[in-house]
Amino acid sequence: MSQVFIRSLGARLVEHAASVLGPERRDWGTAMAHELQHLDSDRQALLWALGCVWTAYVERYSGRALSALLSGGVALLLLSNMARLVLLGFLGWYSGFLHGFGLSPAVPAAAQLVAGLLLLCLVGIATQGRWQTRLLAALFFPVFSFLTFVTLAFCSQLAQRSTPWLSYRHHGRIPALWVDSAIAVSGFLQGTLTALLIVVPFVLIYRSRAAVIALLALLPAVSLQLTSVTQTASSAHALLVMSMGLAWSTACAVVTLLWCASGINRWLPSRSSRTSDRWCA
Amino acid sequence: MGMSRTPNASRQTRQLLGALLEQGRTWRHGYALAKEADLSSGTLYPLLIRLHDQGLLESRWQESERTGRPPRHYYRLTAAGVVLAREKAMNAAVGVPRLRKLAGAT
Repeated sequence: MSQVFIRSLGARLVEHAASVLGPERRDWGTAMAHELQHLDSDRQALLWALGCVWTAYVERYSGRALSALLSGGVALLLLSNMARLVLLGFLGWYSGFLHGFGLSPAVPAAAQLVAGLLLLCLVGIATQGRWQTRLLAALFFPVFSFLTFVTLAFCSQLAQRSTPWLSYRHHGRIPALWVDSAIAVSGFLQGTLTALLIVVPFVLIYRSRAAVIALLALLPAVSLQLTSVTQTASSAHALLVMSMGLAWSTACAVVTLLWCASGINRWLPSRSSRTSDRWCA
Repeated sequence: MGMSRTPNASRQTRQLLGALLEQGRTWRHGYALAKEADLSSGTLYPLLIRLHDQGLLESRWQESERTGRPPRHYYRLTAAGVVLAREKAMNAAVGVPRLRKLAGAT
C-alpha cells in the first residue's frame, strides 16, 4: 500500500470515528484527528486510526449493544443448558435409565424439572437489567422452559412414549444417519453461536488477557458440541456423558456470568463513566 | 443486579495514571501518553474520556511546535487526579508485600 493511501485511509477512519462520537464528543474526535497528523510512521498512524474508530464505537454503543450481547449470550447459554437438563430428565425417565435408583421413575425427572425451573428464575433475576420488572425477569426463562418441556412431552406421547429423535431413529422413519447428523450439526451451531456471543464482545473490548476469558467461554461450546453427538444414543453411558457435559458447561457459564458481573474482573480495563454503570446490569 | 465495578481500578487505568503522575503537572499529548503507559489508542482514549468526565483530567489545545501541523490536545491530572493517582500508586506498592505475605501463609 502506498504512503498516500495509508494516510488517506487513516484520515478517513478518524473522520468516521469523529462522526460516530457525535457532537457531544466533538473535541475528542478533533483531538484524535490532529494527533494522527503528528505521527510520522504510516503503520502507527493506521493503528492509531483503527484504535480511534474502536474508541468511538465503544463510547457510543458499548453500553447497549455489547453489554446486551454479553449478558444475552451468557443467558442464552444458561437457558439452553437448563432446557437440556429438563429434557435430559425427561429422556432418562422414558428410557429407563433412572429406574435403577429405586425411585419412582417420575420423581427424579420432576425434581430435575423443578430444580431447572428454579435455576432459570435465578438466571432471569441475574439478568434483570434487560427486563422491565423483576417479576417478568424471574418468570420469563422458567415459563419458556416449561413450555418447551410440555411441547416435548406432548410430542413424545405422540411418538408412543419415546422421545422424537429416538423414535425416528429406531423406527427408521428417517434414516439414522440423517437424524444423527442433524442433531450434531444443530448442536455444533448452537454451541458455536453461543460461544461467539460471549467471546466476541470480550475479545473486542478486553484485548488484554481476553484469551483467558475466551477459553472460559469456549469450554461450554465444546462440551455442547460433544453432548450433541451423544444425544443420538439411548444407552445409559451416553446419558451419563451427556449429564457430565451439561453440568460442566453450566458451571462454566455460571462462572462466566459471575466473573462478568462481579468485582472479580477489576483487573480488566474500565470503560467510560457513561457506559460503565450499565455494564452487566 | 446492581453490581457496580470499582472505578479506575483496571491495570490500564493504573498504567495511565502512573504515566500522568510521573511528569507531575506537565501537559502531555495523547501519543506520548500512549507510549509511556504502553496503551493503544483504542484503550487510551476511552480512559482519557472517562477520567476527564470524572474531573480527574484536564485538557487544552496547544499549538504545534512543528510548522504545518495542527494544534494538539494536551492532558494533565487535576488536583483530584493527582490525589487518586498517588493513592493508586501507594496501594500498588502496599499490595505486593501483602500478596507475598498471603502467598507465604499458604
